[in-house]
This record gives sequence, structure tokens and C-alpha cells, in this order.
Amino acid sequence: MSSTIERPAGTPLPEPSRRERLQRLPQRELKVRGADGTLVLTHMFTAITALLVGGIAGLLQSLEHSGRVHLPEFLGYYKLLTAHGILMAIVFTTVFILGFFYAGMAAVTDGELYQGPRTLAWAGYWTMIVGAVLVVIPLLAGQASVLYTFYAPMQANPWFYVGLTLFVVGSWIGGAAIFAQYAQWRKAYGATSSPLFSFMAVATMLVWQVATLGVAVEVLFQLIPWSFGWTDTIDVLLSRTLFWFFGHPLVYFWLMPAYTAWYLVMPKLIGGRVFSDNLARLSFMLLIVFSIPVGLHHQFMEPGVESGWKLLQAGLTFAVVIPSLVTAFSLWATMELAGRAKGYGGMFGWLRGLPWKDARFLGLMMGMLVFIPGGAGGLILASFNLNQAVHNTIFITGHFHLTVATASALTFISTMFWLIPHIRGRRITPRANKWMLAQVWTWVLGMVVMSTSMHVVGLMGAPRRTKWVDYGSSETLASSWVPYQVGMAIGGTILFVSVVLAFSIMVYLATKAPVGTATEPAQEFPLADAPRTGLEVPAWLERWRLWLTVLGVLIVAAYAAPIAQIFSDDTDNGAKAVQSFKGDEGKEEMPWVAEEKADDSASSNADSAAAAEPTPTNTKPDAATAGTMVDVELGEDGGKLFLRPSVEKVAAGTTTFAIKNTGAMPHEFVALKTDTAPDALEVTDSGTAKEDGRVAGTEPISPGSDVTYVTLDLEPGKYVLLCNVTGHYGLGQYAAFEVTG
Amino acid sequence: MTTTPGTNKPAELPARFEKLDTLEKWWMRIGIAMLVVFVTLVVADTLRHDTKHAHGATTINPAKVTQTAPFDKPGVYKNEDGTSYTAVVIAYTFGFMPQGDLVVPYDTPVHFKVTSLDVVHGFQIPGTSNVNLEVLPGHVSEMVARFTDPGRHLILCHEYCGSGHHFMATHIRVLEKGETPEEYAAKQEDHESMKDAA
Repeated sequence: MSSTIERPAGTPLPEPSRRERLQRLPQRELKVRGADGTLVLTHMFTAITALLVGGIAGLLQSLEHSGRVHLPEFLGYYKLLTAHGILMAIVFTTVFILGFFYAGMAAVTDGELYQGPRTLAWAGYWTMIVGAVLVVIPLLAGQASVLYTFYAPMQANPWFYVGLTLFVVGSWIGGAAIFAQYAQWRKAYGATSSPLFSFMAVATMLVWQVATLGVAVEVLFQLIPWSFGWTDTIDVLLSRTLFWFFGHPLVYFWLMPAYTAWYLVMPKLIGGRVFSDNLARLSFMLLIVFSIPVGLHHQFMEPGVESGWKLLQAGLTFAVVIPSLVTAFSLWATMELAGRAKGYGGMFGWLRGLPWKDARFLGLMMGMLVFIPGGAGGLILASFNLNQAVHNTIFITGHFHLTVATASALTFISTMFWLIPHIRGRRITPRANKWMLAQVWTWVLGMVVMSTSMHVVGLMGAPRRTKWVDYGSSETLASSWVPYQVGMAIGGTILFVSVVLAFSIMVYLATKAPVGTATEPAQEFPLADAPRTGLEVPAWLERWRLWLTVLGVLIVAAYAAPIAQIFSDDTDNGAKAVQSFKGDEGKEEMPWVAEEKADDSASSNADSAAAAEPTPTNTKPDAATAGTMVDVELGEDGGKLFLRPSVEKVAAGTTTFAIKNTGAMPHEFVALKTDTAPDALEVTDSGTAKEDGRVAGTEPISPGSDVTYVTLDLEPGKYVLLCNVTGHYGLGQYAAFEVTG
Repeated sequence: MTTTPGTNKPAELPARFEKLDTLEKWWMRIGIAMLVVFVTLVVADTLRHDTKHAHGATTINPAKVTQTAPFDKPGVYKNEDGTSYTAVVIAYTFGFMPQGDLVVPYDTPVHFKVTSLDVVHGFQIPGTSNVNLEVLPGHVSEMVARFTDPGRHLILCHEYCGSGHHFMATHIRVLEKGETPEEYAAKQEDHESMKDAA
């Protein structure tokens, strides 16, 4: 140990001696070493791998969403979207955050993690990995395309939920490691307060532990029993409310570690100091208090919750303005003081005193700057009435790509840029710094292009989480979205370049960067929070029980009544008895669609007096009666529907259409004998084509069902084959067909 | 380090930064004022136009939607008050009932009542209105809106509901000023019979 700190062993020292000991704590070099280094590096490389794979999913998805690129069938859009969300928002962030906190806790407390916390940290890591693997398997198999919000009653493979549970349990064990390290240190030194970094780590993990209680109840008591078939039905509104109890504080779980880096790492990098230790602590305490009782602002547009409770939670959401502004003030004050200390004056001249060419700083700075529009967008979304204009549009996606995907993610990446070489005892060469700068700038550029496109087209009504579609070629609103969707793909591509740069740079810094020497030292652990006594911090700021009690009171005030209302809502009319629907790609069963159309086609048959229409059958006719065989494939491809006959022309006589639905939704087959061009059929107000000249047809055919055969005698002439399920003709599901004489 | 022992403040603060405390107090006052203004605006607007916002206190048995009034007859109906309309809509994977356009009069309150037969869906009328609802099975989502942009507009599902989600859409037809849905329907029928005669 290079440190001169001695941990007091055995019986606690009497009060005065403890105080003296704390006050005598020498300034020592902060370091993460040995066993802690391995632990932290493992977390960093797991996180960056999740970022890379999640980035590939993001790239493919943004290309597909432009409508210009069509991906092969096995790469389902919603599968990619689920993978992107889970890998980026859950795996990358959580694993990085834990690793970062372990590193900082080791550095600022006693120079290393104690044995117990370190064992816990590893146990947590492996639990998370097992969980992640369990999530990924059904996901790849297409049995969990439920997106990372997994809203019931759409149902994933049960192991998907078990995997998520293990992942969260793993993160709880990780949180326990941080609490244990903190508690042991505080006990050993008899301190009422602790180094700012450890304070922030504990505060963040407390938000996480309390927030995940909501999703844990949802998954353990609702989703798992229901997906294994132990219970038949599920209360949808309750599951959503529990999800968002977790879903919004999750945002603060992403943000507070970024704040930690902004408050503590940034001052060191610019040669400044933490503006005010107490103010930083106060803002974190306020974040804890206001992070959780706000989830209903994600449910503004849904029934079953009274407006009054939505408004209350909107107000509580706004309250984060206070800690956010405290933070903004402190950070700019730190930067201005540092800039002026270097002799740069003027209203904004001091900005020149900041190390813009230091990538470690630039990443943090860009994260902070991007957080300004990101936070403003958040206030818009928290406004009950404004939310209505953009709820579930891609405006939301644009918003959180500024907040979590830039303010947090870019800060995390820049943190890894110094943490990895620090642990490996290597240094960042000027050349490596240039690549790091390129990484930061490509990220910012890609995000500005992508997020701006998303915000604008979201205001124009484009929905989020929706595969590219033109809603039929005559739809002018949807076609006005296309240029922006192309913009998103361009931004997404630039971002992917940035992800690859980040990954490559980190591999280089871990393995190839020069090892530090006496003249050119290895990368330091840049933390402005040197080990210090903490004695001057008012004790009430670090009384966790007090603040957790305040939080508990607010949660009860904000949630007790709405949840009680969900439980008391008309249990007698069976509203709770919602059945499950599989979230598998391409396996939806929609019996009511068939029923609906059955009535419909019966009446239209009567109208058109097609008396002698052949009866469709699933039995293959024998060669003698079948005549000419024509295979017809029905399905969807990249936002378009299709109907593809194997030939476009047959000779007059007996013909059998062998119809197969290879798509993901029901389609039907209708043959019209008409001279009208296939794209010029008249469309009724009910969204179907007029079936003038109908000679044959089927009812809607469910995806994956057996081949349907329709045998009839065709007269010479021009025909149109189409699917006349509502809207499908308009989406291009037709083909020309000719019978020669 | 040149910190004064026991504090985190720089030992020698340049004179001009002694103003920082004052600046910070003003900064916080601005923040709190912002909070008060935003919350007041949101609350006032909501109280004034409560039905214009997504709401819905009614529950429904999701297995019996099509047998439960008013969802046994999806469509647009004139209300008893003789001036406003109700649009009854069922969302299902991957479509909406009634089949075909919802026909609504110009600048008249239309009370939407939407529920789901299966998973969670969305009901959004972008470009021409702020109609934006989450549609949950077991619940009736409601909202009142007026339309002043005659023509045919897109209605789409904006909540991921499965592999065909992006095909889930229908239309709303906003009539010209003075025209009623009843007249429009009669005219459509005339049109039909004339064509059939021809």
C-alpha cells in the first residue's frame, strides 16, 4: 500500500481520538489497484461490449426505419428494438455505474474495497451476467419482442422475466457492496459524514434499490406467475403503474453517476475545485426525494388514474428543477473560477481557460451542454397538457437520446477513457487523445442530427417504436415524415462510427497504450474529492433515515390513492381478467379478425351475386382436377405488404391457387376479373377495395396456417389478385394477373 | 491544495466572486419562480378543460367488449344533447373498429371512447388534433376534441402491439362546415345506388 492510512482495527477509539485521526488524514494519491482493478475492468469491458452490440442493433434499426433499407426476416425490427433498449438502457448503464462506483469507493475510502464488499460485488456481477444471458436467449429466438417496457398483456417467454429478475437482483447485490463499504468505512473512522464520492454512490444506489422495488413486485407477483401459466389473467393498469414507479427513477439512476463525474472529475480535469460540497450533497438528497413519486407522468394519457393524481406527480416532477439548477450553478461556477484563475477574463472569455482539447473533459462538457435542451424537453413532457401533443411520438425518443444517450452515456464513455488506462497503469498518448476527441465529436454530431430529426418529426405526429410504414401511398402526412426518418438513419450511422471508435480506443488503452514511467506517469484517478475529514459537513445532510422517511411519505402521498383505486375498480365486471397475448414475432392469433370478415364477405358475396364462387380448402386437389398450379405468397416486407403469384400469366382453363400466408398478420386472397389497372381499384370509405368482378376469394388466413387451395375455371382476360383485409389494398397488397385465350 | 482547512471554499477568493452567493440566491429564486409558474399553468389549464385531456374512469370486461354497450356498436353517434357526438372505437391487433372512416362534423365536440380487445394499443390523430390516448384492455379511454380541418386524416396506433403494429391505422373524415354525418351517409348511399343503376 502506497497510502499511509492505517485502518483502525479492533475496538473503536474514543471520540476525541477519532476526530483527531480524521483530521490528520494525509492527502494521498487516489488509486484503484490489484483485485479492485480486475473487478472494475471486468465491469468496464462488459459495459462497452453491451454498448457495441446494442449499437449494432441501433444502427440496423435506424437504417430499417428510414424505409430505404430492408433487413432480412430473422432480424425483426422489434427484436432489434428490444435488444437495443435492454443492452443500452439497462445492461450498459447498470454495469458501468456499478464498476465506476466500485472504483471510486475503493479510491476515496481506504484505497481498496474491503473483503466483504468485494466478494459481494463479484457475486452481483455474475448474477447480472446469468440474468442477461437468460434475457438474450428468448430474445434472439423471437420470443421476447416485447420491448424493454414489456407491457402486459403482451407476453414474453417466462425465462425473459426470470432473466430480468436475476439482473436486478445482481444489481441489488452490487448496491449492497457499496452500502457495506460505506458503512464499514464510516464505522471504522467514526465519521458522521463521508467523502463526497461515496456519498453520491450511496445516494444513487438508494434511488435504484427503492425504485426497483416497483418493477420487482410487478415481475415477481404478476408477470412470472402469469407467464408460466400459474395465473390466468393479469391487471394491466397495475403492472404499468408498478413499471413506471421504477421507470422514471431509472432516469435519475442514469443521471446521478453522470452528475458525480461532473461534480468531482470535471473540476480536477480543469484544475478547479468542487464549488460547494454541501450544495452537492443537498442536491443529491433532493434528487432522492423527488426521483420516485413521479412515475405517473409517463401515464398521463391513460385511463384509470384520476387527473388529480397525475397533476400531483407532474408537480413533483417539476421539483427536480431545484437540484438541477443547483447543480448547473455549481458546475458553471467551478468552470468560471478555474478559467479566470488561469487569467482569462471577460463575460465569456474564461471559457478559453478550459481544456477543450482534453477529450476526458470534452466528453463531460458535451454531456453537460446537451443536458440543457434535454432537461428542457423533460419539463415539456412533464406538463400534463403539453404531453398530449407528443406522447408516444418519436419526440420522446429524441428526448431521451439527449439525456440518457448523451448526457449520461457520453459522460460514462469519457470516464472509461481515463479509468481503463488508470487501472492498467498506462497513459493516454496525445495521439490516443485525438482519437478520443474524434469519438466525442462524432457522438455529438450524430446525436444532433438524429435527435433533432426525432424531435421535429415527433411534433409532426410520427409515432415512436413503429417500424417504417407509409400507411398507404396516398397518405400525405406519413410521407412528410420520410426526410426526417432518413435524417435519423444518417445520425444513427454517425453514432455507430462513434461507438466503434469508443470500443477500439478502450481496447487500445487497456492493452497497447504505453505503460506509465516516472517522467511520463500513468493516467491518474482524477477526482477533486481528496480524502478528507467530512467533519465540516452538517450531519443532517448525511442522515439517510431522515431522507428516506421523507421519500417514503411522498411515495405514499403520491401513490397510495391511485393504487388503491386500481384495486377497487370494478372487480365485479371482470375488468381485471385480461388474458395473455404472446409477444412472439409472427405468431399472433386474431380470431376476431376472421369473425369480423366472415360476416363481411358473406354480405359482399350476396351483393356481387357471385353465386358460383369456388370453396377454398386446405386439402390439396389431386393433379387430375387441379389444372395449372399457381403459388401465391401473402406477407409483409419492410413496411409494405405484398401478394406474389408464382406466375403472372396462365392459359385459360382450370387453375388452382395455392395460397400461403408467410407474414405476421392475417391476410386474405381475392381474385377480380377486371380491366381496371391493379393500382386503380376504387377504395371505399371502409378502407377496402371495391370487389367488382370478384370470381374467387378466401376468408382471412392466419399467419403460419396451412396452404389454402382455390380451384376454378378461368376465362381469358385481365385479373387483379389482392388482399382485401381493411387497409391492405392501400398498402400495396395486390398483383396483376392475366389469363390468355 | 489551497483550501482553507475544514471547508471546500478556495482560500483566497477573487473579490468579484464574493458576489457568487448573491448570484446563486437569485438563480434559485428564478428556479422556484419557474416551478410555480409551470405548475400553476398546468393545473389551471387542466382544471379548465378537464375533458380535453385523456381520462377514463370506466372499466369494462375485456372478454365481453363486443357485447357491452356502447362497444356493441362501434361508430360515430349524435349525443342526446343534439349538438355533440360520441365516437365509439375498439382497438385490436392490428386494426380499429368500426371498419372504415370515422365521419365527424366540422368544429363540433366529439367524445372519443376507446377500448382494446387484447393488448395495449394507442389511438392518435396526428397533424390535425391532439387526440392521443393509451388504450388498455379493461378500461375505457376518453377524450373530447373538435376538428376544424376538413378532409381525411390518419388515425394510428402509437403503442407497440406486436409484429403488425405498424400496419394498424384507420382514418377520420372531417366534414365541411355545415355538413352533418347523417347527410354525408345519405349522400354516400345515393352515390352507391346511382352507380349500381349505371
